[in-house]
Amino acid sequence: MNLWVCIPAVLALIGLRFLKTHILGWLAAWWICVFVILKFGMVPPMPSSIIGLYVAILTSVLLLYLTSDTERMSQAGNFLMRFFGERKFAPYLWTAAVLIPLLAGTNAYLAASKEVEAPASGRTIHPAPPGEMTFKGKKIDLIKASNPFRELETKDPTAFETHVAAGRKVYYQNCVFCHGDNMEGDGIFAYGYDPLPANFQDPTTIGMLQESYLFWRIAKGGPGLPEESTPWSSAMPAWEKFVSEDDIWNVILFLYRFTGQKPRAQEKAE
Amino acid sequence: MGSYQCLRARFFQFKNFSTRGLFRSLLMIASVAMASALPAHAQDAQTLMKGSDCLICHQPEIKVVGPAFKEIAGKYTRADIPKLVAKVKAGGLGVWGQVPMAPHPALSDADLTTMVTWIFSTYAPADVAKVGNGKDTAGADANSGASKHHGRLAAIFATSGGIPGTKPGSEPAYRAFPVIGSRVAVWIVAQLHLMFAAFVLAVPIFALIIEYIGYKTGEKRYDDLAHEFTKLLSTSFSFTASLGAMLTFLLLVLYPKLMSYLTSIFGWTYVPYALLFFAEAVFMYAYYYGWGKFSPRVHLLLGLALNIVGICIIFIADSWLTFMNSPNGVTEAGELVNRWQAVDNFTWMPINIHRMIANIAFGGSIAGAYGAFKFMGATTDEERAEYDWMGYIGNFIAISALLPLPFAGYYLGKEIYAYSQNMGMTLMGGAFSWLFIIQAILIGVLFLSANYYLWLGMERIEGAERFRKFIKWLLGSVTICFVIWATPHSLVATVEEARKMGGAHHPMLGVLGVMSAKNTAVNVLILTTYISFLLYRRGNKRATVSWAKKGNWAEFLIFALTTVFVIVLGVLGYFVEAKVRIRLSVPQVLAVLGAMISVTIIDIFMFRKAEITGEIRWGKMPQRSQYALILIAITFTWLMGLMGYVRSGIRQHWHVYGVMKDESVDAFTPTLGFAAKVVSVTVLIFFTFIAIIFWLASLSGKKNWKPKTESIESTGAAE
Repeated sequence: MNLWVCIPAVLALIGLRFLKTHILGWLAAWWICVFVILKFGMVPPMPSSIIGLYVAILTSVLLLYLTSDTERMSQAGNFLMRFFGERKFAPYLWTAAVLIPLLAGTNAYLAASKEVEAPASGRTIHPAPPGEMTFKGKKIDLIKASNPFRELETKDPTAFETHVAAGRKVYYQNCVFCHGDNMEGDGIFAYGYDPLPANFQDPTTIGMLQESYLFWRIAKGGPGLPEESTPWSSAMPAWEKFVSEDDIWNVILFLYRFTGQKPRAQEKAE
Repeated sequence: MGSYQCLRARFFQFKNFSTRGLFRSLLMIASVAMASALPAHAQDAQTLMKGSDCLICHQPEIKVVGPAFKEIAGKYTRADIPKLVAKVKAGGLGVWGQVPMAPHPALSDADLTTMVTWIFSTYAPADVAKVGNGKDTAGADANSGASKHHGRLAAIFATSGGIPGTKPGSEPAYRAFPVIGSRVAVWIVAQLHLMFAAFVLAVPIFALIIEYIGYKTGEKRYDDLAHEFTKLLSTSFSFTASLGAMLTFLLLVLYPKLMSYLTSIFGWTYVPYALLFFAEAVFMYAYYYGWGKFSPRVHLLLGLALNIVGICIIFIADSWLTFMNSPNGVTEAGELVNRWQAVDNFTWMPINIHRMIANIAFGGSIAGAYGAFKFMGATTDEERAEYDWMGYIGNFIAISALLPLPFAGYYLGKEIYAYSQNMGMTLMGGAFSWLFIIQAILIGVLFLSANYYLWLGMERIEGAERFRKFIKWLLGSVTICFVIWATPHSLVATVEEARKMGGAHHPMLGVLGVMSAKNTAVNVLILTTYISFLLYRRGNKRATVSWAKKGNWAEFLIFALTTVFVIVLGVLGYFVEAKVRIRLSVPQVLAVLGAMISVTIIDIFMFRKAEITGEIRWGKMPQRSQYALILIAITFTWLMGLMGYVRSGIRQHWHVYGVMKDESVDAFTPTLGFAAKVVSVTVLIFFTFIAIIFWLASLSGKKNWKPKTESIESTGAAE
């Protein structure tokens, strides 16, 4: 959050409570302040699709507020009638008549003069895993499969550490180039990809998934994504061709260790 | 019966084939063409082809890069097999156009012979076939002039019609509907049928309840209102039946194979369905025309019978469609084992419950819109008062049914997950999840409109002015919940924006996008709407009981504690494991339900002998409030269309999930934009029909036609 933007905007809204403002001024102030917070107050900035959604909700809510009371509505209506009719408002009326098209034009110009970029993607990177998979000819039941080394964490911590260390090695030999030094999906290759490599530090990625899901995704990579919801765009190789089964489980241990996250527990059959 | 069994037999053969090979579009032909079992080498040939790169350029029926297998089988004969083997090996150019075929030196002659022979044995089992094929392909070419896409449809249809063995009694698996295609045709008609059916089944439910209230309280206006609601029934019933007939007709003509399969599963259940429709008609007309003609108890019984029949009808129809989503009681190959299990499949009860509640919400909203429509056209104060009240009651019914609906939806979603995790993921995590974002926005619109209507409704109550100052805060609460509720987890972002965010999820918005936040938001939203209603109800009342002050405090405490409890559980959800998190939603829901029930009880006792400080001036309602009612009806309809598509669409390329594949040209999942357009068009058609029904319903209230001279005289006399 950019406090230099947010605090003044919030203060302005609080100050508004102590001023006797005309309802239209009040609505405009709210609209502008919230818009400024949404557009400039957020770090990192929100995608424009979300800003659009929020501003649409904001606009309709403010209009509902205006019309939810007949008295308030007629207050606004009377003012508008006077604004359009009375002579003393003529200069403002003319200013508005020039400013509004100008604003719309500027917006259109800015939208059109942007550099060419790939269109926004609404792809959900949440493929459904199959019930079972084959790993080098061996059948693995993904619903029941769990990390064979996970239990060592409590039973034999030293052995567990060797597995994590092995996973670390696998990560820095293979994964780091895309997923990055800090696992934030910003490795040196990441710049070339759209969608970006997964950010494991994000609590809503691997923290939401079971280890067997990660195993499937790592082993089968982009080519192994299901037929449903195609076309997928994942550049991840099918690691089963390069990394052994144990090493995949090792690197999964390392992913959770490094990010401090916990895998989603296996559902118990009811 | 013979041909029916033959069809069944053919289907299963076709099914076995599909589980082995993955030649989707092949199945359509296979089902018709393969009178005998597959040749022994067929499976080898398919395995070989899959192992090689053939299928990248060659498809069974459609020309992709290279010619379709069908075309090859049409151009050459079996005598050419050695020549073709050599050609595949060496590659070629010029026979089928200017796209070269890559040489395949690595494939052995034996393998190639197997593959090429398979093409002939599948696509040209007899010489007669060749002639038939050629003719029909020519016909298709002529068709394809019209439009590229539908030309293709026509071509496929034409060729499938020209398949070897077009004997009497054998039918194609699919026929094409002109211009919009079979899927969209069935989609629109099915959705319209469903909307009308929902309306026709819902109105008697609440008409009966309102009539009963009238009977118990002795207030005539309730009886009149119930009668007014049933006025809409008879025309809607005819529309429902006509659309149902149209749907059946379209399905039988366009999807004969699917229909014969479903018939083989459900067989005799069609009979009670048809009979119940008769019963429904009898009870409905007796209920409507018999208004005031029977003793109230007999009439109420008629209404009850009407409702029971209606519920049976919807339960039977639900069993057919839920079977397509989550088939049960059949073997892996689709053969019927147990008919009752097929009916009582995994999603049957969840859909039954979800539909019942949603129907009431939908029917109430349409009835409310009818009230709004009549209100705005009313000329006298009495009429205005009457229809204002009708709109209010319709809306009250709709919103009351809307409140438990998310929980029924939750149960349905849970059962879908339990049936197939894959289907569940497709539903909530895959491409369909975007439709849930639209759903969230529409539900937000519903809640906003419902609250708005209540706030405006305070203007018709003398004494409610003192509650006006709360509107601001209620609106604030609704808005915040709406924003959280509508925030997607994976955002639509350009790669630049994603880079700035550090991935597909925004660090702050990501927090709002997950289950814990949504559950909390919707619970607070429900609670806020309830508070709006409570304030509305208290508008012209002042509690006289001695403990009024304490009662108010108790209610306030219940609301405050519940809100805190719901929010604390929501926040806790971020710190616990997924399986615990999912369970947290239950206490949240129970707390909200508990709060609403306990506050209602306190309120009823507190205001039992309340002083009435002002009257409710029915009809003194701003016009714009009526648009809120109409918006609610449209939003409900739209939601229903959208979610209906999701329910049907998550089967993806299956007719019957996991059992019978969709082999038609429409087997793909349409883009979200296209689906939304079809739903929107359906909603428009529905409201056109509804406008006709409203008009028809208003005819009975019109004055009788008289010749002009007479009417002048009569006005003269009146003056």
